[in-house]
Amino acid sequence: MNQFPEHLLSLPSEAAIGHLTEAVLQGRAPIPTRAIDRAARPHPAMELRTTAPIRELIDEAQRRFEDTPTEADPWLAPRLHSVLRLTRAEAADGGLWNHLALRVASDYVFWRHAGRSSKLHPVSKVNRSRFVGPFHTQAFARLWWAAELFRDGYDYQPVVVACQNQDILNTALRMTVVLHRPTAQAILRLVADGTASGGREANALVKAVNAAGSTLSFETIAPDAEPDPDAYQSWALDRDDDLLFFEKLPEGPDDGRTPLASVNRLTELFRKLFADAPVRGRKVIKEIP
Amino acid sequence: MRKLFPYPVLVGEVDLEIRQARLDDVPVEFSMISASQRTVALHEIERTSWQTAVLEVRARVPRRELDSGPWTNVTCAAMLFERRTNVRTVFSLTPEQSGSWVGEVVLHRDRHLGRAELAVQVVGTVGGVDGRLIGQDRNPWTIDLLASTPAKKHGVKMVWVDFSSEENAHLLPFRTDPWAVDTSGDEPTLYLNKRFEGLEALLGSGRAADRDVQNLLLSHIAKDTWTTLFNSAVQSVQTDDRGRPEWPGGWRENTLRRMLPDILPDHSPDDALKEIVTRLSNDDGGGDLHTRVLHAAAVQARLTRNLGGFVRALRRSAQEEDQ
Repeated sequence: MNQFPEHLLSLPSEAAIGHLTEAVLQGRAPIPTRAIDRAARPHPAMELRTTAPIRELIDEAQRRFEDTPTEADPWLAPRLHSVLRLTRAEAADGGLWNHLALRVASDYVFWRHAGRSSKLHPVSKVNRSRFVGPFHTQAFARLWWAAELFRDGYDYQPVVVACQNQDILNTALRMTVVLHRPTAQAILRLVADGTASGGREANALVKAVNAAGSTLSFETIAPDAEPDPDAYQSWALDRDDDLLFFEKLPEGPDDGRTPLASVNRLTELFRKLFADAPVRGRKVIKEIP
Repeated sequence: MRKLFPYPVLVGEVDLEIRQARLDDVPVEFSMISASQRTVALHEIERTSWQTAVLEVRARVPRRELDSGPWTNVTCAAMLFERRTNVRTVFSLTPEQSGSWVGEVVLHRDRHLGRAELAVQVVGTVGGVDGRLIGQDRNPWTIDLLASTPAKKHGVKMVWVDFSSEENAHLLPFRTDPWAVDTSGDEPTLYLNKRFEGLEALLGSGRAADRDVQNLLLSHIAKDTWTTLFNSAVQSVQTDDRGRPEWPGGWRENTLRRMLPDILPDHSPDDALKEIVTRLSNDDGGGDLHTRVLHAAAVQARLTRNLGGFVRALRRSAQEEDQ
């Protein structure tokens, strides 16, 4: 029985949210698929996408990382980005992500974001915002946007670095400073080279950079080159649903790398900021002259 | 600039002017640019398929202050920002002899969706530190890809719908209610039920005799709306790793900032937010908090009613429906 819809549609948040009752979020009641199918519409400006390759990725992710769902993030983010081939304007429509989470792959949301039970909430449940929520929290939107904002042109490797560190994924993704590509790449370089690889360190680094960004214009210190919109568009149109990469990283849109000189410059600046930043649990050792 | 800076910043006003807009190299009608509303309406029914919009901009900076101040390497840039598509692009401007800075801002259709914000920032070297932000305009422009008349949009979207019709399945549970407030989306929506007998006629009526009951009903709707907005906004507040609440952004933050001063008048906005979040997480019922929220909602409702805008908007939307 194939219970998944053939195409990815757009499900308005107001229609989606009503179905996310406590019972549904706790996994005690099914998501009413028929009501969702009635409310879902094709995205007004987007070519229809079949859900089959998306399903394949989701199934593979759950197979590979069966006992360690968090580790699925760095594997899935670039591959989801590569399979969906959305423009930013399309990805900004929360309806697609709602449909993906409620209708196409709710099993993934329950698997990846299963809540823990606590004294206050003895029955574990999935947070509502993992189904319908802001781009940095919703189960699939966060992966897609992480891939889009942290890739360096066609190179998805920085995305893997970002998604391996939940603190980067949870904290940096929502900060406007990372919308400047050299800033994002410089942060990830310090995470990758071990300067700030732990969760607390990454968190402290991101916060220090964000605080500095309120008085410093990183865009002026380290200018970016405008991404090439035509290159992105031709990549977005060049979909091949049979081409899935399970082992190798796929290649993203070849819309221009981040200028290396800018990344270098910010890396050094951030290294200094990080040296002075308070890190939870890091002892301050004063050198005696 | 409102923040406090550990170095000298510009006191004089920085301002951005949009001189012309072109869609795929065809100039946009001047009526699409409203200087008073600081809005450019880029959506035109005849040309929905445009790819690139170019805005010619000019920034004015307090030149004399800059010349006599401690800043060097001064540059000026226009910054385009849209949260929904996570685009933040900086366009450097070129100085003119007159002391203003000019340049072009480019928007690509694929990278924008709704309303983008365009602001100007002045950057310079101060006290040996490069790239310091020394000035920005207080009043950014809105580049609107959705609206066809240039008007800044704030507050609540209002729509008349039939709550019991198939297309609005999510309103079906409320079909016997006169109105419903929906806070799940990117912008809050007030739904008014066409099916509710007499509601449309009463709100759309221009008769003086109906004025009192109209006002009473409107303030009731407004109070309801503000209470719902506030509760939903407060519940969306997340805390950082040290347990401090973070402003949620968007309409939620606007709502909180608007209502908190009436809820906890003795607190600064940050402290008020913290207080509210703490009170709600205690299991003592929050004390007099809910009374205070109702009061703040009543204040907002009174403000909107006195402004008359709410009434007029409702009346207009009811009349448009009739046609």
